[in-house]
Amino acid sequence: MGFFDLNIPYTDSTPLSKANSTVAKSTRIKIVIKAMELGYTGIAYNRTIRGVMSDRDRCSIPLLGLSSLLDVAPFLSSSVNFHRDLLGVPRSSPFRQYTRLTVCIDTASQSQALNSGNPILKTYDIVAVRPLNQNAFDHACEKAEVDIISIDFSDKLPFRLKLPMVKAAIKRGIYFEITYSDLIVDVHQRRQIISNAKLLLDWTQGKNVILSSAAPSVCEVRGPNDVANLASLLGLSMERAKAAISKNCRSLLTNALRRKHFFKEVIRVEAVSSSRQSDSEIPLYADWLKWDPISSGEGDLLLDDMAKSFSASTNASKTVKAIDFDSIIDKMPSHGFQIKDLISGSEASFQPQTEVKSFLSTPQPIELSVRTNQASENSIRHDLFPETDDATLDNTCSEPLTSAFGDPQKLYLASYATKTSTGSEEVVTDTVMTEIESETCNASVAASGSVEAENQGLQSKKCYEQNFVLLNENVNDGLNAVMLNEEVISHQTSAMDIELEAAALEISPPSESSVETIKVDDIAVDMDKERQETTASSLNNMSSLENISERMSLRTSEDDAVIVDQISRQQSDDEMRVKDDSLVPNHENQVLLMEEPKLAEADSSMNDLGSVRSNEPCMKLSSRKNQPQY
Amino acid sequence: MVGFKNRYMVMEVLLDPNKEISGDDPIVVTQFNISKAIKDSILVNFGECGLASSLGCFQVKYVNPITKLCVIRVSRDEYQKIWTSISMVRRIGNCPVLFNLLDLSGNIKACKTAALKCDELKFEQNKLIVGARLLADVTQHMQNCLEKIRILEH
Repeated sequence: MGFFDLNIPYTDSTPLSKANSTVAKSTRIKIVIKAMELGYTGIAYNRTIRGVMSDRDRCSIPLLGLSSLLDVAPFLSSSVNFHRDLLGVPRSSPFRQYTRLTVCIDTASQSQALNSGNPILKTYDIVAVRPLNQNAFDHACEKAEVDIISIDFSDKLPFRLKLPMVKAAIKRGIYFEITYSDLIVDVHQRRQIISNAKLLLDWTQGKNVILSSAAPSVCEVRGPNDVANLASLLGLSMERAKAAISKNCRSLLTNALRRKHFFKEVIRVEAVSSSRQSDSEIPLYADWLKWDPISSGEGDLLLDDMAKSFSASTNASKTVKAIDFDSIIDKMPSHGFQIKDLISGSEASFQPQTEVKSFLSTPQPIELSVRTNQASENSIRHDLFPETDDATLDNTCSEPLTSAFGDPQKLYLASYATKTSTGSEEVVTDTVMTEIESETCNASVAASGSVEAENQGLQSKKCYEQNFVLLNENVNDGLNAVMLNEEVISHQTSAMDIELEAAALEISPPSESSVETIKVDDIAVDMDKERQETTASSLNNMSSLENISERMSLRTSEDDAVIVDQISRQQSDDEMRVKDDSLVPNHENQVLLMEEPKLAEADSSMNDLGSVRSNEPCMKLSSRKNQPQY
Repeated sequence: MVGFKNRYMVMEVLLDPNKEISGDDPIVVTQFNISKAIKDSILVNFGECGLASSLGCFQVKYVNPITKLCVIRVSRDEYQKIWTSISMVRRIGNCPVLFNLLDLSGNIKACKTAALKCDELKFEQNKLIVGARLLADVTQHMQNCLEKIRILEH
């Protein structure tokens, strides 16, 4: 288990004079070397800002490379190995560097900035908040999206710690930080720190507490065992104190990095270098098996080669670098795609999600999501959507990706299905229910309810997919786009996908009669099946997706039935059945009512429905003719 | 059965961490130096009574000036406080120092083996740093120190 020191102060490089900056840099290097020698396996450079964040505050902390450290201390490796052996840390574990931001908060408006949508916060690995008054502390404990609450104990506290607040923060997974360097530096501060921090430690019993140094210079850093012992002054047992400097830090880092790299805790965007194209033997997903949950990317220093050559470089990290796609999104134009509208009519209003605020102005939802879903079939995309930048889509990786995604898909699908996003959860279940309930001729009430929810959900989905579509245009290493789209398709679990799979299920044996069987795993299985038939059924996919789009459109206006017909004629019989089935629950107008009697004639069981469905193509055309009668 | 319950700490003293690695020591660590610094620290942090209660079993048993290794004996009841005070020692004389615990054990035998191992390893590192300037008497001195460890008693 490694030891971490997550607070090494970093001062900005806009100092008064050049001399200051070199001094600061050399201090930083010395502290890092000392930390490495003492046996720490990870550190975080902490930058403190106060007040309102501006764009200047983006992370610009340079991570130190092994060569610069070896310049100062050429015999680092023997010392590091010696101490690591004594501490029981494996010699080969990499030394990690993270970046951290501490925001000092006193007003409510500053607290509002600490949400998960703030792009500046996303450039740092760890985000900490330092509340300066009671309101700020309460807000930090209950609502702020941060990793650490760092309280300056060395002076009289400007606010009171309250047990319910502390408990609320622990429940949310926020860690409290206690810095020990003030204990060492100053006698008077020692008194304050011990009396203030003792209360916190009594309440938390060391749970969700981390110890870190905040060392102003190298003389204030202490080894991990010594730090754990200092915590015993504050009332912690040795075991808890050791956990506070190792286990708690590690879980904090896991959470923080997951929050940073994963969108909605599900999707990780990675840039795959185009040189991998030639290595076709190595499956693309082999790297994912070596995924390191607390890797700091370029900050990892592998110490294996240090002993052999003193000029070891740092880029031995084999993990692909995750790109922060939110920053990329921010660079994109804020208007959505202008696509020729196949849909006329307005959608329902919906609540914008915080992360995608800039894209919510123009409601052109469903067409975009359809296009995004089709992105994996780039050839089709070529034909249908000439506006997109096709060069970015190489479909070569889709095959291995599909099989690799099998299990993660299910996992993410399941996890996403249980996420508590605003409307989409209900949408998901509603649409699934809707597909099935149609056969029981309950469709009208449920359909109307779910349709509106669907609209909302789809619109919110649209935002994400819109982002990803736009991303495709602007990100030039093309495989990124493929992975992105695959992940959009697989993990986004939009209503589209659920419907697609529910529809696909109806192609597959219709004997699964219970609603409950149309569950996430079935959907995932069918998603796999869907994926694996990329070449053969790409057309089918496309058309089924077009179905869905048409379903949406039909929901809102009848004029599009023409288009529906045109496309319907291109399909195979299977697709016809899918389309018609899926058309069933989504009509609020006469088509639904008209088909209901037909369904009512048949039995409500799915088997009969299958036979009914096969007749439906004919009925569909005839129903159109019958429409004006109603 | 055993009258005195003790803890033996093997610590290394890191002199002047701010300085570049040059090979010259600003001060020579001796038993007296270290003992005085630690007692001052206990006095500041734990007061007269703290100092008095820990003074009974407190002794710096062994110091190696070449590798900066020291072995300190403390009573079992007070060892955490004394260890804390040692961590808070900021300077010996004029030189900023840093204490780092390497090993903690309950009897002299385990302490001796740990101290021997650490001393030898640290001497190897020292040889690397010093390089060609290694003198024969330093090696001899080192051997004497190792012998001293072997004859340590409670």
